[in-house]
Amino acid sequence: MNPRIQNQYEIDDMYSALARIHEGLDATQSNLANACAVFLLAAHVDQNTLDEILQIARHSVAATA
Amino acid sequence: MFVRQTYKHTPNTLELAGAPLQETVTIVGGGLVGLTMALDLSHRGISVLVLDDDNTVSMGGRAICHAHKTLQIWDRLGCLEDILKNGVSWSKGKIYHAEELIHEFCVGTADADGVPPFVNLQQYYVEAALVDAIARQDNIDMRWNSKARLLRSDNDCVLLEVEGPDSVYQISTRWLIAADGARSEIRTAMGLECEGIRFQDRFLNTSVRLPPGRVAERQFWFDHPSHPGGTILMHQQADNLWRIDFELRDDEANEATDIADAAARITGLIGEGEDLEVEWTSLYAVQSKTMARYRYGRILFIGDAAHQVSPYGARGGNSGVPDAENLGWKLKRVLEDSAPDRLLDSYSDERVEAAQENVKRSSQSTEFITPHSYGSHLLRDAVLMMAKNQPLAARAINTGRLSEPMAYADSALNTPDEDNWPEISIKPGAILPPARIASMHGDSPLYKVFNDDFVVLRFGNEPAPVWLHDAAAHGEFRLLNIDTGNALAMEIGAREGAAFLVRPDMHVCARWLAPQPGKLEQALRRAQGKTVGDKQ
Repeated sequence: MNPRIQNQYEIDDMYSALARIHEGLDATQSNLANACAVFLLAAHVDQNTLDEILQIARHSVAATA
Repeated sequence: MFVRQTYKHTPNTLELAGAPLQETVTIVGGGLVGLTMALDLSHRGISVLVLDDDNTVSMGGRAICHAHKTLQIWDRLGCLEDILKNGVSWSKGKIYHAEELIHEFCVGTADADGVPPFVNLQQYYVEAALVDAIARQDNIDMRWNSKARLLRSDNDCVLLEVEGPDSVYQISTRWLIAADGARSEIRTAMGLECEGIRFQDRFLNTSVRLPPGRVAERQFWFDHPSHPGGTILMHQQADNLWRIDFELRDDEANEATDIADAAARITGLIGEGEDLEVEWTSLYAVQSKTMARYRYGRILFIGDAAHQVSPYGARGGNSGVPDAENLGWKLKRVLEDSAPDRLLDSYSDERVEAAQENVKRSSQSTEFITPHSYGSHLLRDAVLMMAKNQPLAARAINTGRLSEPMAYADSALNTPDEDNWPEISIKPGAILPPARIASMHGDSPLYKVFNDDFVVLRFGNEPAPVWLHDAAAHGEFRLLNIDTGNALAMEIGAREGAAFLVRPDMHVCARWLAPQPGKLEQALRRAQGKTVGDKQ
């Protein structure tokens, strides 16, 4: 898998935006917010990109087990 | 109200003598699909023997939701009137999260060809209508209380032993159609299995009589307050009976589900104060399975004997009935030697592909309805939460993607395109949409044109070329000229002079912007298995 490179946002701004949605949420709400974001974001990328991103996500988590 | 009849077969002297009988086509299994198969072949002029091990139509649940294509087929077989008379037409559905309505949908209307998009009717009603239609045919030998056992099969025939009401005898049949259900004894005797998934989730299936006056629509709840953590599907049937299916939580799965328990669950859903009478209950586990192929020499599998899917998309009976139609027109041609028997391999290829699609869709629905991991559950909840305000999320709600006809895009019977067609045009393998056409008898539904013939739909305001009329006059196909101003022409992207070759089951198998004699002849040969075409 190729490392993903961001090309649209300044990385720290992007990271902050992702972190900000969890402010004031408990664990359950946070998980749901993440799920909502992933679902909506998935519709904005092509199939190959989505497959690659999901593979990286799965692989990254599996590596910590 | 449904009045159950029992049927009797009076054995003839040959059966009583136990002498081996010679048959051309024998169907084992007189359920929804087996009976449809018998009628289909009968209408094509083929004599059929049907063996059923019972003396009545089915009991309890089974298929209740019959789709547009299935209804068209039953109309061709002369039993739609009875089905519409008793059935409940519906076209709208509602989905709730807890008690909040989060999504409404419409599955179409009957406007296009007069056939409703869906009709709900208990399987026993449909089977009774099919049995009545069979009684009107003089070339179907329907033998009740006749249990078949496979003895052997070879290149020439299939040998069965039949335990009839008064004797045991043998049948040697040229073709055997196994329509003996999910627990097919024919399949088991051959050591064959359906492959796929049997989900662990358990569902409580109930049939309950409620006072009249409710709206006939499909209703589905996630996390209803009376049933937290589970789902409920509610659908109307005939005689003011409603099918209400509850997904059971893990801690409920082993509970006894008696009538009182079911009544309490239903009261929790519809509220106190309604008279209700629970007719029956049953437990089931969802499975999504298919055999790898449906033809083994002279034995052909159809319906649940060949494949089983989750009931949530109404894909069981609605794939079994098209199995019968697909096999019917092909077997007829093989029997009359107008096509080689490899045409039957295309039955297997096409319908296995359809079943695999159904297995996939059914498994996706099951994962949404009963998520099998924490993350999957989270995603499902996220979608439900957003559904009211985000159209994308509403589209993702999957309470069972309802049955649609399969497009046989990869069929070896299709002739590959040589012309450049607009993207909206109907592609080889796809089925014709519901439509009306002008005919000698006035405005009529397009599907009524189709019976056992190939049809060339030629679009144009100018007369069709002479050679096309000549070919049609030779009986190779029927020619239907359609004005380019017809809504169908717009819908399938047909311009002046374009032509579509359509199979008896209404699937397009070739198309040309300007047809030519040699090309049409080749496409017709290919569509009947007379030339070997590579899969596309």
